Amino acid sequence: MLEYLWIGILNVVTEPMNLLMLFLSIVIGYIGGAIPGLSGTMLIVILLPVTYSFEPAAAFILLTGIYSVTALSGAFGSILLRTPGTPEAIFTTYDGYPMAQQGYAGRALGITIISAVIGSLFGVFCLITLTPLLANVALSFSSPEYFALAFMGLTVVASLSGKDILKGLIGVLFGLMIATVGMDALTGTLRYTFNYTPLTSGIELIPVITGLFALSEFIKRSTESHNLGNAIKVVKTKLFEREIFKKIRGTIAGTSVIGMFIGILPGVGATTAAMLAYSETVRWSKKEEKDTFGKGNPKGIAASEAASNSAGIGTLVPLLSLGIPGGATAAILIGAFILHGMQPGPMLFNSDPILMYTIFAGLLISNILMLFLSTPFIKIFEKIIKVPYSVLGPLIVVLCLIGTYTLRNSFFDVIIMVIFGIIGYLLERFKFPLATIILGVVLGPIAESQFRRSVQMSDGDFSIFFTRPISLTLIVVSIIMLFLPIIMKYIRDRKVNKVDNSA
Amino acid sequence: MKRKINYFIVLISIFTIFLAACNGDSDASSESGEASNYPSRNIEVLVGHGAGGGTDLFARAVVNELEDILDVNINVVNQEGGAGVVALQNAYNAPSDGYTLIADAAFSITTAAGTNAYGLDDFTPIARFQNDTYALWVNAEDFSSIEEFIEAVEENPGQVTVGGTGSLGMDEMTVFMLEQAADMDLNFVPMEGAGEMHAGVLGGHLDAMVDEFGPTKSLADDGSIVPLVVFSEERIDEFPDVPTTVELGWDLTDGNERAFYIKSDTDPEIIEILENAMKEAYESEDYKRYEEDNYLHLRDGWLNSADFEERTEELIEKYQVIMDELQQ
Amino acid sequence: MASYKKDYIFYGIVILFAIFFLAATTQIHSANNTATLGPKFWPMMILIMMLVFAFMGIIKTFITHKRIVNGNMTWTEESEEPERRLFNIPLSLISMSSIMLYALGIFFIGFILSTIIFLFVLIQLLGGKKKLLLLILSIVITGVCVLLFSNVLSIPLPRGIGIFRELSFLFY
Repeated sequence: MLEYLWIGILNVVTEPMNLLMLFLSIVIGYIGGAIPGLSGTMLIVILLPVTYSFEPAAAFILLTGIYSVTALSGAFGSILLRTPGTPEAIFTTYDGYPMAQQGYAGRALGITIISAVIGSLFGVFCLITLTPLLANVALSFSSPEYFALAFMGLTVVASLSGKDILKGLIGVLFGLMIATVGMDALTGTLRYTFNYTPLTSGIELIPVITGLFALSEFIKRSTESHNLGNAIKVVKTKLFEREIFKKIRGTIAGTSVIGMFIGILPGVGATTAAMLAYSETVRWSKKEEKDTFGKGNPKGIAASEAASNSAGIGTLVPLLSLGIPGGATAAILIGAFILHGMQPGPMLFNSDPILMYTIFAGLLISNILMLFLSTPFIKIFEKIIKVPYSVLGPLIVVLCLIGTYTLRNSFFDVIIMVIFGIIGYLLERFKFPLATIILGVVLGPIAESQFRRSVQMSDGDFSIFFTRPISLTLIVVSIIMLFLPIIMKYIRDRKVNKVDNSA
Repeated sequence: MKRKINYFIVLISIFTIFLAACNGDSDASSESGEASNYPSRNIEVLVGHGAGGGTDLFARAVVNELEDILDVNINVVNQEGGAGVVALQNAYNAPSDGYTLIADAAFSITTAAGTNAYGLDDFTPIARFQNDTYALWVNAEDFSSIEEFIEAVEENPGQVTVGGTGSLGMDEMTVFMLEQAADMDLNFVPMEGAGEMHAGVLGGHLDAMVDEFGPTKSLADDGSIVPLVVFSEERIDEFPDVPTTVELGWDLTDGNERAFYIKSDTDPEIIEILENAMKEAYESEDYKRYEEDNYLHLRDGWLNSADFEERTEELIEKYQVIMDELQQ
Repeated sequence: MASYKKDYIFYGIVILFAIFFLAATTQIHSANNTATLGPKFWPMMILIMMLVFAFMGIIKTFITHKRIVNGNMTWTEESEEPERRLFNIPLSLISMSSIMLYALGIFFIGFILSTIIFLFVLIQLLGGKKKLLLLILSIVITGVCVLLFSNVLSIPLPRGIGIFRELSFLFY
């Protein structure tokens, strides 16, 4: 195996075409991901025909490289403009944007790149060594387990809703309702479409995110005065800061593992991975630290980025080992393999191991190169927040609009974005925890359809969730986690009372 | 405060009017494109399904050839939603000048189900390219022949789960027709996507699934899943031992039929130009290779505009009856 | 407005939302009767929980308000600074409406024209001076977007309708 990897690395380094593709994938990925509205999926679809004429190795180094780089560069918009370039980068805005607003944009970008690269490298490492094992883990998951996972995600509402849990709960329920609009996945019934055709396909995640976070921020900031003197002072930071890295290394390690496990499950994806990793990080953090999340805590950025990148690589596991796409982009990569006359799946490792390991080596090298090539990009992007907001604000609106429109070429999505922009602005003035709405929208479709699908599979027997070991464990753990803070508080209060009484 | 609210109400009403415009026919002035110099600018092909899926790959493979034949740029625009209905709606709102085409696989089903409000009066097929073939797949460890499967179903009526993608689509119709033709009582489980469904069968969470040969190729080559019965008249060269539905006496050979459509009031000469260009694309070597790579060549797909229009009409009638039974 | 009044309004809106959608839920007819759990099950559950939480919220607000009136607790009232105004209209409304108009604009007159106008006008409203420079800037930004998306990546941006649609074909 190591020997194959060595051949793969040599293949990448000594072949000029492969090396060129490697650089190209980083440049295209950095720029493309940073532009809201150009997702990695779209870039790969657009570049796919161009790679027809390439050697397979060069083609896949380019495509998988872009895939891996855009998973990271989507966070640039999150940090600098509160406009995530990809949906999974939404959780990077929670801490990245406040940090940038305090002048530490460079630090936020640095944390992003380090965590993302470590996440990806961990992912590639698992991909090389553990693929058959992980594939089996993925296969042991079915609808009840998926539901249990979504349930676990929903129970973190308490740690995301700040002081007012009731509002947080209502936020999640509102998000879950948004997710029910459109054609029901199990019966094909139209729900809440009111005979309005564009609603039949439901409300997409991206317009909701862009509206709630980017547009509402624009409306809010446009009401402040923007004298040029008011521009944010940029504090110089290094890419690698020792003290910060010490703080976040535990988070990176833990969330990389979470990301990997979520990533290998077909149809769950990097957005859910980033969300679970972020909220678990909040949940497991020390009590006195909890309030700093959402205000520029480096651990928040690290959690979201390490998990989403490791999950991104994780989706390649079922693709390469079973020929099953883990997500939308992986499905397009399958198409790319077929166009080059190959069928991804268990046979490919035997029939063309050198190509496989060349792709792995490409992923490894491009992630390491990303670290070194990131400095000039950070320097350029850092300057963006120095542009006066009277110019930057309208420009963000234009980019949001393009991004939402090009998603599926729909005016309706643009309208949804504007509506959620206004809702987001009003709710934020009211100190409402917007993150809980996203929690509902992301996990809603998984929770509902997997719950009903499980019951369909068991032919109406609800005990299916408790008779399967994995789903039982997940549900029990999340219920304990939900009530643990309340129990702990009760115990602590009693202790305090006892002390008071004895005194 | 009051002024603020008034101002807001005005804005919202303007917005509502616009929302209505999104739905209704935005009176597209039907400036008919001149057939003599068609095509003179970029053509758009609306695909009602997501990027990377079967219908999207089909559209892109054909467009690749069409661009050379017609010598213009053709943009593939994915407008996912409602099993293709959203793309049809948008195409209907565009002018009928021949520069907006639709690639669709579910036209007859969505029309029969009533989710698609536009029938053959509004859209005309240009050509059918593919008539895909279904099979009933199982985990190789569970069953080895269709007789075994039937026996298992008879022992546990309504308990044997069969996966398919989506609801009220071709997959569910196929399972429903199978239940009727073979007098079996199955439990259809609609899955989110092909990936989840394949994992379900491999992991033993689903007893069987219906799928086409292309997406299952790698798993079938590996031997981890096997087809029990092919939904066609003739046996397939790659699987000579697998019986067909017709052999078993079941009249069930339907599959996804992928085709291009255009608005009916387009200049007939333009439709003819497109039809001829598509015939040429269909016969091109690259397209043939794509079909073979994806197991799409099992049945001859080509039907011209008039023939496929007739077939679509029959299919809509047939599916309407089944839909009524499913929805009653 | 006092903070507790805002809370009442919020929970009131939530209750109205839930009741409206509960009514809509009863109108849903399953398109497929083979499913074990129909399409109503899940939304019903969510909406009922929403109603419960909203009523709990009202009760909670009521109790806290009572306590304050009785002097047992104090509100931490945040002072809201008055918003910046332009022509006596709050700026938040101006930016909201300009986004709405812009969204309408791309539908009717297409991406190119509406983006130039939107950028040119809004930047000035937000405090940009130098008119000529801003006009050039707006045109350049729009040009870059059109070039990148429609020409390089062949993703057509909105064209508008009627004459504007025809005009857009000159560019992409």
